[in-house]
Amino acid sequence: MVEESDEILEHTAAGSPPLPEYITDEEMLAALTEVPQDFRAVVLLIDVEEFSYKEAAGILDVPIGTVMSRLSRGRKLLREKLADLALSYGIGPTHQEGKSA
Amino acid sequence: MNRIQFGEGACEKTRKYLDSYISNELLVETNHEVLRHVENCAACAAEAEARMQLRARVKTAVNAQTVPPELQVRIREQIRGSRSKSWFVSGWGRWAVAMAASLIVCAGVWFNYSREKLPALTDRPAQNAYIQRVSATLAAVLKVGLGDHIHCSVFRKYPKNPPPVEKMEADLGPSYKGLLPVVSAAVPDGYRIVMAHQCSYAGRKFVHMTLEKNGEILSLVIAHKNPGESLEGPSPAVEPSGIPIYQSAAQHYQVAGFDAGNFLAYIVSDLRGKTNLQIAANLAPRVREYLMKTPA
Repeated sequence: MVEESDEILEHTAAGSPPLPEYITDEEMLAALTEVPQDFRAVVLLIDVEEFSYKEAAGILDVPIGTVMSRLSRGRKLLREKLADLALSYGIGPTHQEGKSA
Repeated sequence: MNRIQFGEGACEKTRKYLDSYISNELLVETNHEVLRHVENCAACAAEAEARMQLRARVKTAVNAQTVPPELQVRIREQIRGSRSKSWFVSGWGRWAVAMAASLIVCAGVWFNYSREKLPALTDRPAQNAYIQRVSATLAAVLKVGLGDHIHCSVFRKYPKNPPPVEKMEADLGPSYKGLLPVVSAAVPDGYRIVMAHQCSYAGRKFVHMTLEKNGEILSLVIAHKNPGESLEGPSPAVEPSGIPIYQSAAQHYQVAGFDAGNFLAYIVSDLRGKTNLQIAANLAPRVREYLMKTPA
């Protein structure tokens, strides 16, 4: 277990863009590849490989706080990439406005 | 211990901790505060649900990739072994282990996304664009072999059941049918010729054989030289029997080529570079000998 730090976690408070329903595995992976390596590695170690923060910190040789911030940032970037993808499909505010016009 | 008391601005505080909450990394007391808030706040509950869905979808998508299981096991064991040695990793820096960790879980991702989706069989313009993109980094003389391999063996596929030898001989024509036994004798065990014919791509004629082994394909592509065209240069990758062979990679394709009198010959595959080169080195002496006797 880790001690929480407001500075580390500050940027995670923002709401998530919704996860588009029709994202395929391939699109998910494509979005993941666009997340910078440092962030992607932490997301993969923790979300896929299920290492603990402490273990991931040991593997990457970085402080736990860095793991926490990279994880939050990586997940957020991934959500943003997927939201962009959803918009490109016409899913989102622009599309809805267009439909009602 | 660092217990967080939620009160004013509870939603904002909750969301700061949601990622650690999802990863089950919060202290018990903080976890309880987050849970209590989420149970009573529809917006934060929806936010937590969205983040958990994303986490689950990432895991599903990555695990669906076809990374060879034995490779996954080996690297995961190395990673986990490093933990049991108090983070001391003999021979590897920790960073190397970390990179290996991200490599293994990303291997499928990178493997697949280094490969563009193939255009539809009927979409010729898209096929040409694909070939141009894939081969963009290659020397012009190597593009010749790669283009026909993709055009013929990748886009049009090879037959699951190879035609009889007589049919392949007829499709190759009298000048080239003798290549069938030459190639069969020089490729590694397990490869079989599944297609052999003369074809044309981008206004150029080719003699083309496709070989297959457990779903892996490779092509022998032969073209008449255009005036002034040659593969020979200062730095061959290998030189079996004095035949300089040049190889280059374009995305996941490997293209090896050598001069054979009036012809250019290529071995193209998506095998590992070393394997492709070895096969080219095995084939080159016999194929070259045959082509040197073949009238242009």
